Amino acid sequence: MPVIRIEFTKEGNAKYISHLDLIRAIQRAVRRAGVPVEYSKGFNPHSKIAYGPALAVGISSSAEYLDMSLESPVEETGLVERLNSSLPAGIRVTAAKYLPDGAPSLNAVIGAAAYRITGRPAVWTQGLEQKLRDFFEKESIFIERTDKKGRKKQVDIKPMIAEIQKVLVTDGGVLLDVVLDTGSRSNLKPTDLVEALERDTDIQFQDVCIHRKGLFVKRGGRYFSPLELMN
Amino acid sequence: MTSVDIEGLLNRVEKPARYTGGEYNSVYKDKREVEVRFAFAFPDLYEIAMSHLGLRILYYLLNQRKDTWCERVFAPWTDMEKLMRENGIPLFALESRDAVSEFDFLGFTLQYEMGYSNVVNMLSLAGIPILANEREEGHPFVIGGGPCAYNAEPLADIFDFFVLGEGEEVLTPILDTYIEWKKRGGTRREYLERVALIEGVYVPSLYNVRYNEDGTIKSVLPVSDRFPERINKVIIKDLDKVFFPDRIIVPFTEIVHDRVMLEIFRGCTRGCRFCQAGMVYRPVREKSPEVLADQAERLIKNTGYEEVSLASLSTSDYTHLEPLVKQLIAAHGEKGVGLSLPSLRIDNFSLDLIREIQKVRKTGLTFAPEAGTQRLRDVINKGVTEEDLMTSVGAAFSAGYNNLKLYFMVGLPTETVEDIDGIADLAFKVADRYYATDREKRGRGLKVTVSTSCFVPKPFTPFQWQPQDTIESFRDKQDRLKKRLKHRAITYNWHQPETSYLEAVFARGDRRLTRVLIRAWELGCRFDGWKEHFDFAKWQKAFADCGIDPDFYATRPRSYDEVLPWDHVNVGVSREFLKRENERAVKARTTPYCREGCINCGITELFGGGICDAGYQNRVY
Repeated sequence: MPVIRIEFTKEGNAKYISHLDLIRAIQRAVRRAGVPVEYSKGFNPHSKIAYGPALAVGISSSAEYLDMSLESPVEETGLVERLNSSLPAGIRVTAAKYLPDGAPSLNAVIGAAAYRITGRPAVWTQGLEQKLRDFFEKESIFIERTDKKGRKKQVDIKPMIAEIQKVLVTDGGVLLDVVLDTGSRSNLKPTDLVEALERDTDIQFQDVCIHRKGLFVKRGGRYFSPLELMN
Repeated sequence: MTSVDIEGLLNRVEKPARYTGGEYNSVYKDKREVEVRFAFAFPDLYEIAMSHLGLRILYYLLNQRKDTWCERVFAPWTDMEKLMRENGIPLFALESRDAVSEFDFLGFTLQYEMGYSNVVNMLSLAGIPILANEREEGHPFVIGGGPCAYNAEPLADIFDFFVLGEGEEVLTPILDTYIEWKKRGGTRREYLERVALIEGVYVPSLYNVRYNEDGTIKSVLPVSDRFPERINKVIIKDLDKVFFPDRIIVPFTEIVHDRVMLEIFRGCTRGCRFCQAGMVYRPVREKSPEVLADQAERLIKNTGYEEVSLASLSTSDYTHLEPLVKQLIAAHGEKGVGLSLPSLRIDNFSLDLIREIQKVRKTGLTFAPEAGTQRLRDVINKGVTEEDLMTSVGAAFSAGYNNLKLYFMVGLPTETVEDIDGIADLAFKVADRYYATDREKRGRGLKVTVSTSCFVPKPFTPFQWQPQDTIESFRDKQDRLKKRLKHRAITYNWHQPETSYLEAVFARGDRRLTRVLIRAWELGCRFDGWKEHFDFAKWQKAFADCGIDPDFYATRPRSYDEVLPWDHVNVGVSREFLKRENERAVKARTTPYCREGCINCGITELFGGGICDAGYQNRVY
């Protein structure tokens, strides 16, 4: 069965829905669009769609991905149009491309995500920008995590911050562009980073807004979108 | 219009998708191009509200009008309410996020009494005066409909008017009159006096209630003879021709009934004496299978839902059920669309039908014998026998079902200890039937869930004169069942008797209860239908503070000559019929169901002959 990889946004009102809700919304859109998705056999047939790393409720994204198994091939542009006329506002398909045979799954290849984090400090202090830079230059940043067995342990998240692209302080607030490890091998949630930042700099942020700019495959020290690099 | 900014709040509440709007198929209009802003309100949480069939119909019906924009507004959960109050954010409509206080209409559907405190709370959050007589020009008209509107006396001082019966047609003159009135610039009172003349509209402020010394009602009379002494409900005569939406909103977040609900008929041919719906939704009117197949097709296509439920009060009584089910499965089964049939009766449950459904998807089965002994089932005119139940569960077990739910009521009129024990006996017989089923055929691991609710006597039923059981007695009966239902395959669930007691008070309440309701809300009551929020002590304090004895409403027997608070409303079934049925009940005498012969309930007198699809011309009474 041909498998097509789809890139889509999750913005506006749609950023407030959970991963499970997103799965349901897409299943129904696929049904409305009449896309010949493959269904599993059995009493509760479900469409064969595999998703990339889940996005937390409240975080928007301009590039999420899913792999859909089709019963028969469909022309890409037409598929994008059909899906877009059936999707709820906030979810928009931006690209679609067939996977070569034997291509690894999204979760096997995705290793990083780029985020834009904005917010306003509750109290404006002198040297705010320096404080932020000092935070990112620390040798290690420890946070507490709970493992599967419920044990608490200290984890250094510094190595999981793959890149700091921009640290900007303006009258309007703070803007951070960062690339964080994302995926099954190493994963850092942007909310955990914000929490550690608030703790270590002693700055509380208000109206924090997190946007995922994209998910990436890392190969040879470079980042590729899962549509650019499929093998 | 004042639009609210809730972006800062949404990341701080549980399930923000309850408040965002923007779901697929939700309706957006240019507010400058409409004359009427209508907020359809359901006084409960999003997940409950969005499951309601009436809302699904009326939302699109109203939005068909070019001059009207109907939006939705529901009760915010307590976390959201707290943030809204802290940030001075008024109750807003989901689509436009405009404050509902600036709308033309705020229309509540009143499905159950335990939502009343949420109605008050929503008005307060909206900044709309709670009492109708404190509202001024510029405030919306607060209107109500749904089953509780038939005796809405406890809410009479809060609502501007009620719509009695099926709203599809009567909303048109209500809105047309409004637009004309608005253009003329009349007073609120003028509009109310005009809509009061529309069949099916009840304006409580135009009726005076007088009381006897013993607290019972002396009379309910219109303030002027221009207004009808009795207000008739309205119905849709031909369901095939009435508006039914070809799309419904597909919520982002999972709701209770997350599926297409296809309404196959209205009314009920059965005459269960406890059932208010079976009485007030008369007469029986069926939709044709052709119309239903077409509606199902379009709804599936326009929603992408993977399940269709056939909605009615008693699905297996639909005349064309089998061909309809076969047709729907043939048309949609291969695409993975499942079918569910709620409200199947025990006595005409068809194994063939179940096998059809099972081809696509297997769901659990629910049966409602309602009472534990034949005598008591005859009292309530349930009309099913133990043999019916055993045949049905036997068929279900042989078909591989192993998960059954059994529903009963406790506290029914004339009930004795034998009837309570009968519930346990029946549950054990069901379990035995499973073990007697061929191992090859039956599913593995039996699960029987027995649920008992506490009987609430309702207006417009034969039991409207009956006292409710006391809370203590309910509890004794539940304790007895807890002891008797000890079996590894049986789970027993029971209802909080305090909730049912309060439901009984308001179901048969009068206008004096408005004060209690508002007092209870002041004390913090809301979401009374939710176990985690229901606080009986606060309600008791509210009754005490207002000097009102709730037993007067719940546990007091009424005599036939007492004027009941809802006697000025005519739902079609006659008082004589209800009285006759109550008398047959206490003698444990059954009454045939409508397809066996017309039992002269009175409905055809209100709407003329030929309206009832049960259709038998031969009167048996």
